[in-house]
Amino acid sequence: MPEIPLHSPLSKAATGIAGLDGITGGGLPRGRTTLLEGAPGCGKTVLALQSLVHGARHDGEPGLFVAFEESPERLMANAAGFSWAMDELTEDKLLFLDARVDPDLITSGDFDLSGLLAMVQAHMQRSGVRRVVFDALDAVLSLMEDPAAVKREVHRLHNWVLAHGLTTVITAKVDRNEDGAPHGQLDFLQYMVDCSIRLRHSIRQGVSQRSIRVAKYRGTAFEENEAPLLIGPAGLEVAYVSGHAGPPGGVSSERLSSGIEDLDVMFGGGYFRGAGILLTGAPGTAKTTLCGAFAKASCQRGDATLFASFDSRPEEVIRNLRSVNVDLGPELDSGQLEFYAARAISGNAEFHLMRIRALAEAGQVRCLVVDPVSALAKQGNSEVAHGVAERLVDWCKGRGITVLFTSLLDHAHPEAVSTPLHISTIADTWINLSYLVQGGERNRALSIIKSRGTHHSNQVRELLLENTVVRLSEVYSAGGEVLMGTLRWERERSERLAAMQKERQYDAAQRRLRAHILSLEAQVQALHSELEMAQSEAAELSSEQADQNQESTAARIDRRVMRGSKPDGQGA
Amino acid sequence: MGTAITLQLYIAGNSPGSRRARANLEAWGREHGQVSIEVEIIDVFDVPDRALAAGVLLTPQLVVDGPGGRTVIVGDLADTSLLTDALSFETRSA
Repeated sequence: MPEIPLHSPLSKAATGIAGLDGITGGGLPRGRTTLLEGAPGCGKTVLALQSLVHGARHDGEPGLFVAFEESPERLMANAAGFSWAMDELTEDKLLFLDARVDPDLITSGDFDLSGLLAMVQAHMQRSGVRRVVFDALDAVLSLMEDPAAVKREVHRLHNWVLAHGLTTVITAKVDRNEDGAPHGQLDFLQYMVDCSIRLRHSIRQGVSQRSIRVAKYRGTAFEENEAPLLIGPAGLEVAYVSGHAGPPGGVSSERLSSGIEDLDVMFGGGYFRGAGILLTGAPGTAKTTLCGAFAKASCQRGDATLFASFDSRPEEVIRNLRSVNVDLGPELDSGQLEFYAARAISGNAEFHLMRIRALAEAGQVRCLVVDPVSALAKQGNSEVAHGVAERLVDWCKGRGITVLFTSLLDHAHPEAVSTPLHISTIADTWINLSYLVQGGERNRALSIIKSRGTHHSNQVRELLLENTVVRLSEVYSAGGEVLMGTLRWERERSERLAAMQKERQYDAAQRRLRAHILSLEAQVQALHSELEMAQSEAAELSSEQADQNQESTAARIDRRVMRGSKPDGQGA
Repeated sequence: MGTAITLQLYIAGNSPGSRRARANLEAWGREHGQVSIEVEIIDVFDVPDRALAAGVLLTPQLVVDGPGGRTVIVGDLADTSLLTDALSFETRSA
């Protein structure tokens, strides 16, 4: 046995199951043992085989599947249903060992599993097997009546695979008490292995729910919470999103039209590309209309768009949208728009999430509409629906897909009650649609509750569905009260009348004043002439006076000269 | 009588179970001296290919190939009556 350095970093063997490799931080412990336990039908065998196929194909590690319960032929036939192309793997890459015990076996005294280990050794020598799965180990151990013998043989197996450095997966049904603690013959397996993974399958209100949890993993950090598990066409899929991967080209500041001009104005240009937009509202508040308008605008811009409709069939959605002049027919025909019609009642939320993701990936979708996301919470899915909605939005954001999702609200005040799925926190933009009942009328109102990173109107607007266009009416507020519908029309009319009256009053006053001004101006003119006259008179008068003075001065000088005091008038 | 029966005893090295199986089989042979048997002892760790070819999952394992078909007895043969049953059937048919 080679000496293992004390501080050798733990090497991990990827399983190829994206979510599981995320939870375990890279895969199963390489060269060590992993216990996979759960009740029949949990997916133990699928998980074990899938990881073996992955190792053989992508890690160049030939794998051996030791089948204690099912025949290799049956296993291969079952696996053919998955998209693994197992038959492409040649026989020295993926091997099966039929280790079913003959039911007519005669036992006499004590025995052990050395024969099995020798057979595994033979495969190692022939094909260089690096990974082994012991599927349904409990089947062979059940032959042993003595618990001490069971323990001894499991340790024998464990020590042997460790000594040979094989990456090993043991699947087993482990009996559990009601509190989940293992009991019975195989409980010690938990303590022996380096990694223990538990699979669970339950039926909640008639809907199948699977989950996976890593119970222990020596020497490494791991995600300890249970994660939803799904068996799909590609095998197992574990719903686990690690961290928040950003969109491919970074955060976009591109604005996308909502399909309603007035709404774009309210946002100062539209939604952000890659944003998650939540649309809440009571039944009949035109949520689907807004969805349709957005889908149409997306298609016209050239974005591949997916419309996931949970409550209505696509034909109904299209027909209903036509009544407000949103025609998705041409876009659907051209393939720009794709519909995913899923009555929410059929199947579990995880399944829908997986289908939506698969369609979005296949169609390279850039805009996604989910109407309504709250339908996922129906029928036994309520516990998982929040996680599903959150992961859907996370997934979209990670890919830069703009997602518009609606949620049904029965409550009139969205701020007072959180949305059924508590998804308002993950949405970048939250628009609420409601009814305002005034004067015996219901009118649709739209308000933007939040919108990260965009300027947005804080006003409630009236949403008008006209047969030509959807538009948002300017807010009409009177005395601090938002008015809509007929009430609004009446108020507007009376105010219009009052305004006209006032206008006439103004005109009259204006005319009066104008006349007064004219008369004043005339008076000013007259006074001005009078003033000029007076001024010229005054000027005449003063020049006359000056002449007079000059004359008398000259006379005085003449008199002094005559008296002889000054000969030629040169001072006194 | 006289016709030899071929037995194959698969063992795993020198483990206590393997030793016990050999001892029990030898003891049985001494008791039933009138039966001519030939025993091939195969150590699965020495020749793992043989174990694989025969599908020997559990050891010790005694394989009896006789005209009546194949009989497999798993264990250290502590209960020799099973051995007697299996082999007497074979010797009778032989």
